[in-house]
Amino acid sequence: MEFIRVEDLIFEYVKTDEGGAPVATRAIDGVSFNVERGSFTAIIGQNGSGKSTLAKNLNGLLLPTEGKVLIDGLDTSVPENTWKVRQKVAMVFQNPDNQIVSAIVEDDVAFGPENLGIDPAEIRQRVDRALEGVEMGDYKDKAPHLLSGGQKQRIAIAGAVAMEPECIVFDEPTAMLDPKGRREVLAIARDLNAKGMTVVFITHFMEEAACADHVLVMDGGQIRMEGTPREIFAREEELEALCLGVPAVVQLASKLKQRGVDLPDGILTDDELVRALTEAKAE
Amino acid sequence: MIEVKNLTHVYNEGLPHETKALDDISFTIKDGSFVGIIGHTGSGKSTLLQHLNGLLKPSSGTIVIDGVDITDSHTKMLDIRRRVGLVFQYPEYQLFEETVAKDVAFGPANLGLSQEEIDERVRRSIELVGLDYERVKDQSPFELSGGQKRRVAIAGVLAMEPEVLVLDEPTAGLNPKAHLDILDMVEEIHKRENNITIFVSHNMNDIARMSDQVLVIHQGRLAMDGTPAQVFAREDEIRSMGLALPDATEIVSHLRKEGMELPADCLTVDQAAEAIAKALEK
Repeated sequence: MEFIRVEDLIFEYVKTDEGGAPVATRAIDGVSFNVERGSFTAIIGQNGSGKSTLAKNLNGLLLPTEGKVLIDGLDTSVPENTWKVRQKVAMVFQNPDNQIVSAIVEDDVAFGPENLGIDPAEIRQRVDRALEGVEMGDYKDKAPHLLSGGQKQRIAIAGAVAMEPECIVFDEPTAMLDPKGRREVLAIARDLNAKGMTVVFITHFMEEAACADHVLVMDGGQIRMEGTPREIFAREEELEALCLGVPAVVQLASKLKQRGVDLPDGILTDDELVRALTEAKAE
Repeated sequence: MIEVKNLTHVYNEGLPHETKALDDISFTIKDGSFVGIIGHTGSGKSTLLQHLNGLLKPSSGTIVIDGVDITDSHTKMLDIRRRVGLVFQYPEYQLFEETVAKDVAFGPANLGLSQEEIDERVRRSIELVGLDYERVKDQSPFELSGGQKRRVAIAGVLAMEPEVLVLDEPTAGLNPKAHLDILDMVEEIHKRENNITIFVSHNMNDIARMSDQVLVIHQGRLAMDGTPAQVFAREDEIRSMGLALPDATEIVSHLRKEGMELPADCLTVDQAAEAIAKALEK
């Protein structure tokens, strides 16, 4: 069942030039796709491809210039729907420092639910649950600025989780993190997804996109490719033409094939390559 | 040449929360080398970098660059900054001037050079980072793309004409294309200037591909010092420090565990492909 439906979405940023006349820049240029409830969708594309603008259209932070975005059937451009949409879809951004508002971890996580006017006892439970979920329960009375980048990003995720949304849109949540922080954040996104959360994960790390059920490739404000990671990463040359790459293991498999090693198509993980090669060796 | 001897730095010395951030570090870097520094977050990498251009003074130990001891209190700070240019993480946040040319000129203008010399350096640095001088010089740096802003910030350091260029995670936060573009640029600058280039990165593929020498910092100590092949062959130690191997090295390591006879020092996808194909032919 679809949770997000995007129909012929066009989005234009409007700036004024020196003479005061409006100038429109089209960031999203006719995009349609669906996100299934409970799925893990990755969106990849280079800087300026429209990924982040698309993300902000998914919870009504930005509203379509043309076309429609439906969240669980609710049209984001209808003003009465705004708060319902934001309750259904939470966002986690790239820079955790830009989304942490409080001086104490648990206050920060409580910020969202407090604004929903929820009963304090219920907020207490939600905050504890959300912090446990990102394995930051021990840090609830700490100051966020003393935490590592990965830990701060986990706090930001807990803040989103405490809103009890049905979907979280992650906009390059790992771009500023070290490898350990990246692994932690990806693991939490996958864990939330396994528990039923719909996840939209924008990234430029191809290894992260390889974990998704479904991948959208954006370029110039349009969706250029769509499919499972296996389908997408099989199209190495097209990805390179879009200034994107494929995971190292996919590159290695294709180089081995060029050298005449007999390997199955669609190898996506180290384990799959190792298995295929040990079989090739045995023959 | 850079000679670091017994470098130790203690934060909050004598206070209850005294921490030894650098602990008896010694190494030598030869002229013209490209050096990669790796280490887990909090390992002391940034503290080390900040010593190389005199932002921090060691608790003990010395750093000698081309015969000049930069830790000596008689060495002028300006002299150190001329020798060693440090590009911080996300350097584009440090841009502040109205135009690209003015921003790049800020450093050299403080060296007391003639206007002619300053203009010449600004032009040269902007071209070195791969931007079109005539096109960008009068633009506001804030109107440029993220990758271009970072180039302008690096040009500002290059305009000081340092003998040693130090970059702290120069590709952090960039997408795959911009990431490669910046690294190509750093390599190009290194080739043209033939200076010492030192860079910190969490990307082991880049470290393996680009470095002549790799320094591994762990808990404030120099845990390893060698070529990329030497360092990444010690895979168990690398892992125990919370660090990763280059992608190709990691896959080859899996295969070796499955009993395939492969060399431990495959660093790139091409090297791995060649070694695996060869092993399968046997």
